[in-house]
Amino acid sequence: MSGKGHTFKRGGTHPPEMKELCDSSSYSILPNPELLTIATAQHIGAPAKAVVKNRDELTAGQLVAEAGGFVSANIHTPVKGIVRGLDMVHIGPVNSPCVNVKPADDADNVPGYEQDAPALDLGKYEPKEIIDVIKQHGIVGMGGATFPTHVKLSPPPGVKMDVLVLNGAECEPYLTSDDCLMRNHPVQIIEGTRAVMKACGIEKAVIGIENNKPEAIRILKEACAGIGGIEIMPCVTRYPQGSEKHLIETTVGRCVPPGKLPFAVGVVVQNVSTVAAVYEALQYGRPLNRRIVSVTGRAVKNPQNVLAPVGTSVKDLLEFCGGVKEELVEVVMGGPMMGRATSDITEPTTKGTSGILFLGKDEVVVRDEDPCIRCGNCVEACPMGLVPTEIMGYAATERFPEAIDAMDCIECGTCAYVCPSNRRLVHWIRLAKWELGRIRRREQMKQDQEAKAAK
Amino acid sequence: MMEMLIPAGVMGGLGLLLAGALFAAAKKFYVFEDPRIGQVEDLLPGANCGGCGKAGCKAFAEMLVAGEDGNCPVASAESMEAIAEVLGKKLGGADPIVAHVMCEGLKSSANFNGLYEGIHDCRAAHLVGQVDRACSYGCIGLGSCVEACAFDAIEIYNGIARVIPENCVACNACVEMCPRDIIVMIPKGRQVFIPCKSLDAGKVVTKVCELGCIGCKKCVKVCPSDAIEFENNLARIITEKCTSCYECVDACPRHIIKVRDLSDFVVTEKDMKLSFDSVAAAAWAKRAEEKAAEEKAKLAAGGEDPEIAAKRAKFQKALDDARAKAQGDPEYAKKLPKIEEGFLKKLDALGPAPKATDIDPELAEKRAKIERALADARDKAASDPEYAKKFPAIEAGFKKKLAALDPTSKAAEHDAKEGS
Amino acid sequence: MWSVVIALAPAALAACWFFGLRALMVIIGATLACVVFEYLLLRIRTNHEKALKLSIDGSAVITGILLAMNLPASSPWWLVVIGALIAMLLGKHLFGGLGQNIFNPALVARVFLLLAFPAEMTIWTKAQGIDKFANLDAVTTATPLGIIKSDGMEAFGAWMVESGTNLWSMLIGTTAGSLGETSALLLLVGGLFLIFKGYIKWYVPVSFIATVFVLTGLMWLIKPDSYASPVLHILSAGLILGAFFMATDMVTTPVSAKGMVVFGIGCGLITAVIRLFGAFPEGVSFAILIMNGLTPLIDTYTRPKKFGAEKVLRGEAHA
Repeated sequence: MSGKGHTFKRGGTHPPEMKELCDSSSYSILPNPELLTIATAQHIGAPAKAVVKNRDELTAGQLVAEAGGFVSANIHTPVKGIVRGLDMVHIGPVNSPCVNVKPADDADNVPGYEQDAPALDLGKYEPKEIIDVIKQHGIVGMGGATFPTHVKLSPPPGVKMDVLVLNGAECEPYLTSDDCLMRNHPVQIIEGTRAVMKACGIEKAVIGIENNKPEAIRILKEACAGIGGIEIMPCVTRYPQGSEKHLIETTVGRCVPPGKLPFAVGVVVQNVSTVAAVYEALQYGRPLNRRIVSVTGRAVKNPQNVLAPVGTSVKDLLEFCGGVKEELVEVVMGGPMMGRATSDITEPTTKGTSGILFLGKDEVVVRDEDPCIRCGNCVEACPMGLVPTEIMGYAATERFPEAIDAMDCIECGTCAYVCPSNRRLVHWIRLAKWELGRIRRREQMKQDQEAKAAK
Repeated sequence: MMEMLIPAGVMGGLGLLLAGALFAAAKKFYVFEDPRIGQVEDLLPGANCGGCGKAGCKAFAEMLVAGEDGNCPVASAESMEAIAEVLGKKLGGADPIVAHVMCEGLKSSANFNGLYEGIHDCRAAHLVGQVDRACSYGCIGLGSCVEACAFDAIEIYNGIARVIPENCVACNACVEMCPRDIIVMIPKGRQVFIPCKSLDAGKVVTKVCELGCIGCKKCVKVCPSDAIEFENNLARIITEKCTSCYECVDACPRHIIKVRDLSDFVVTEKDMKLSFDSVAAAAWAKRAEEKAAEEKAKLAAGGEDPEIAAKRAKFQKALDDARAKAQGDPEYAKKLPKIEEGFLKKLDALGPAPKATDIDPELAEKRAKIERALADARDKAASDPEYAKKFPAIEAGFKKKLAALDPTSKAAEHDAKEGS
Repeated sequence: MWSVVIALAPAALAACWFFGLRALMVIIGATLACVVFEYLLLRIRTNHEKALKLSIDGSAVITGILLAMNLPASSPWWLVVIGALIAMLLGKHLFGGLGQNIFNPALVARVFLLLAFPAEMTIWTKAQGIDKFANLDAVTTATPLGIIKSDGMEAFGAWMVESGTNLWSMLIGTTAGSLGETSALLLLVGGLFLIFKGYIKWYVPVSFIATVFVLTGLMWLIKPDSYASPVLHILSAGLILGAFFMATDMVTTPVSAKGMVVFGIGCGLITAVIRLFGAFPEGVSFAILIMNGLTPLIDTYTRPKKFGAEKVLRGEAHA
């Protein structure tokens, strides 16, 4: 725990912040790369379906894939270009169809965010219209989860939300992309917040920011000074402050029950970058097809925040930032606590890629698992009140139905971080989750077969 | 004296009392069990593997005696016959099956990048994504299937799992364990199959594994029994339809289609490069010999050198394809004259074409019939614009039939070195 | 794990200082025997490299030192070796090795030796200083708690004067007892070091000692002539050693904070009852072993509350 402010009660840890590596006072705009790989399965829900063919010519911001279901999102090309094939791309364990776009030679780079952006004229929109704009422009959660925003803002009938919580915590070490946006473009965030408040009929908004971002806190406080209903709340710098449920506990003191979503306590949470994207869509008609990515870590020559089109490959970003500086041990998509290591640098960024870490040997500990000594560090650290060592024990002995608590795990990685035996706790818990899903699907298949046979 | 008699009497009386109680209980609570259950159970293998879908051999025996049908994949045919005798009826059985791992990308033939540091379990590794193998669909090789197998029938060899068929009882434990669904059950006996599960496009597969299916569909085209299905860049042979003609094995440019008797085959470094097992290879070599003799006879009777004939057929086909394409694509039509010139030049360089004199009168008649039909179609296209649109496809179809009749066109695909 | 060894070092060295080179031999012998047995037992399960690497990870060394601290300075070599074998075999490897044992290995060995060789285990040499190499002509004496149990409080008072034992000597460590039972001060220093460095958690030592203090204090207040003062109890016979070094062994104790407090209270309760009313003068070892056995039960009933849940659920099915 560090510093003053509000915080959540149970568990958590404070890893080294490593924020100074990646300067958040400004960002660079990436010149268009040779090829953009736009995955159509880059959000939670049904993959989008491509609506373009090979060799189609595209204008900047054109729709390339439309939502494939209710819980899905549109996807647009960031720049003018030509379709160079519909293919498959591997993004970690996900095999996603993709649209390859070659930016035209005369295409502009993705536009930066405006300084001194104008306020939104929200009077001209009905709430439903705002949600429709969000849906059309393919906005998904940019904190990393990529949940389609228009679905999040349309809870089931009968549910009323009364508080909007903005997630400016950015609790993962190394990452500074949200901080960069907050410091440089507070208007987009505040105006986007107002838009979302109107869309959901919410009158109160709280922006939670960890206190290791004093500039962002100051700048946002200034920006929302005259606007009613929006409050900036500094929070203690503690991981996982940015976890949805824990941020809600910190900012409004409500605890979401296990297995339920925030709307169960009348709250909706949005990342600050997401609401900025809402502003971009309403004010300029820009779809979500670019974002600030923190390219950082000790093994990259010039770590910096880069505004890059969606679909840029890791390799292009690495080259833009000067290439590898020293021995590169691990490449991580996302933050060090919850990110995913990759061995393929042609992998493209998505709407949810907040950062790419190039970690050197001083930053990575490679050690085999030792036996669990039941020290209880993981129990103390788990912010969800689970017993990770117990779940791991069941998973390791193939007793998956008894590991049912795994379903409440948010995979924050705090338990693995504090484990003295270097146990891969999150990996065990994810295995338990997966196997539970497999067992359930098999049961379902068996039931369906029996039902069919009975007919 | 009494000191001995009293205890003896007490103990004896107690013994008689208890014995009587036990006897009464045995009579009162007696449960009748059909003696056939015990007989059937004795004839079953006794592995309690669950392959029949029941909880152990006793449960399976009870089910059979109760009148239901069932099959034990582990039991031998003689055992099942003996059981049928005991029950006094015939038992429907399925063919014995055995597990096979449909990935043969050993460390020596597939690319590996990255160093996996997670849990030593294939399911856990699959959650991470690519692991250390460059192919996202291939065997992870961490041995979860080995852990799952209770019969020592599967092991890790050079980075992949391989089945030891003589121990396999087809209990499905490995099939259910594998997170990438690479292990399938195949009937015992000689089978033709494609050991690859990669859905990647050809250009990706060529970079990651020597033995991956690139989705060229040559096998699909040559199969006379429609036994190969193709979906998402991967070909799969449907066992029930396969007639073991081995045309696909020949056709595959990467030689990845395999012919093996899975009852006794275990993958080794040497085998993975060979398409045929030894017995099939001998049969194929014999057929290849007969075909070669046929060709020689035709050649002697005045045919053309097979290599040149093959080239000729290739150029002709390419020329026809280009013409057909030009019909539909005006851009391409502009480039057509130059392309035509190029091909015609190449054809001329091969020398004069052989006369269309057929050695085989039957063949000659077939050829004449097709050529007549082609001429008719051409005339119709000249007068009917609707038909003209369909004509290129129709012409291509006829040309294909003609080419099929031509004995020299297939000669080039012959690869007798498959033997042994 | 080596930090626990560092924490034990001052007290171990003090024991050598007070009890002579014999004590050093016991400590070194026990440690060596434990490491050797650990290696041999690991060799049954794994290859040479792994067995070697695991046997020097520090856990066998700790068990060796703790075992030594539980033995009197006059222990014959065979007692030490048998103790080491019991600790490693029955106490650890039969359960599956590191992380799998239910009972504290050093205590398993101590209790076994106590019950099998009561005579050797209760010969206490007087603390005479390092220059006196105790070749067992040394004066044997009794421990404070031993006198209280056998002869009562009155006789104890007289004995204290006669033997020069007082609370101060118990604190420093010049009283008779096993190697680890004497210098409460140095053990306290080591224990606090471990807590402040975060290697052990404070819940068990504090709740254990507090419970003993409260219960013995209660009895002392009621009948001061029959029972020793709580301060005497705290300073005597291995309570500090047990509370800070054995009851905090993570493998054999509960995982949650609540559970650890319950564990500590239970240990304190049983220790106090045995000391006050039971036949043995010393209750710490038995108390800890009994509570070790109850640890899984304690874990089940002291689960943390899930975030947002109304009450504690035991793995209830998720939607």
